[in-house]
Amino acid sequence: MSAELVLSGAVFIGLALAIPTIMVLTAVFGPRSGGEAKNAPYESGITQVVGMADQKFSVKFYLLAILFLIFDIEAVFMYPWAVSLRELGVFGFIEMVVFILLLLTGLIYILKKGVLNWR
Amino acid sequence: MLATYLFFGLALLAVLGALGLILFKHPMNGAMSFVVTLISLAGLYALLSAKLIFAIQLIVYAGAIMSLILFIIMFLNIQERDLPIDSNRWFYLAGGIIVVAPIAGLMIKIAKSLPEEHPELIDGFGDVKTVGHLLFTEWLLPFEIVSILLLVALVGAVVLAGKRGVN
Repeated sequence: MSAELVLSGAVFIGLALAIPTIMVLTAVFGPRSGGEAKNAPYESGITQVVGMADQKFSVKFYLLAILFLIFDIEAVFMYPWAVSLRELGVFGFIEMVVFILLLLTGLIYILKKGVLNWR
Repeated sequence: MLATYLFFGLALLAVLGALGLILFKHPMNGAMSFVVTLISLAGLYALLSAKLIFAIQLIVYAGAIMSLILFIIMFLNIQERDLPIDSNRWFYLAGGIIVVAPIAGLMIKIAKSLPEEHPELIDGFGDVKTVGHLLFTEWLLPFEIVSILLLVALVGAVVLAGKRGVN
């Protein structure tokens, strides 16, 4: 069987069979219990609940997500590079060093800007 | 034969996910259906023997872009009561169909003009190794320019986000 069929078959089986099956099985076999004490956020100690669980997040996290996306794309380029590094030799290595150094200046920029500082 | 069945299964999943994206009322359910679409598209890319695109679809789209979308949903924190009562829902749906219809017509035209015979693929088509070799020999300059593009995007994101006073 070719790699194409294996990859797409794995995706199909995972999406159409495995995930729904696991969800149904947990719903069927999972233990159920109710009651006021079980549904309380804390068993004891904190009696007054402050706010809701699905509160709004700081926009600062969004910037982190964008930065993650950028470095994720950088990592994606390293995948084909790593696979064909043997054929490319020293030249290919220098190419990737230039690529990473350019993005490293970006990392230094965000470090200097204090984006990653939490307070 | 198996490839044909896989194609129809994945295509059905992709369409169902897209339908869920626009029909679910809660944004989080819509986002989760969108993940189904993105992953089944990855499966379709694999069927086209584009193995590198398959990996990129999973890593970048189903991974990073999806996390961006989920972050937006969590920032806005839309509750059921915040959502507007769209009574004109079917009216808007009909309008959308009218807008998209020409594109669908074009797609059918393209599908009909495809050649009947299947061209022979070159050896290692779409392989990670083949694409990597091409990228790092023939398309070297565009690859290095990509890093500058990413750098610009990074600086732009920091500057634009910092403007509103992230504190």
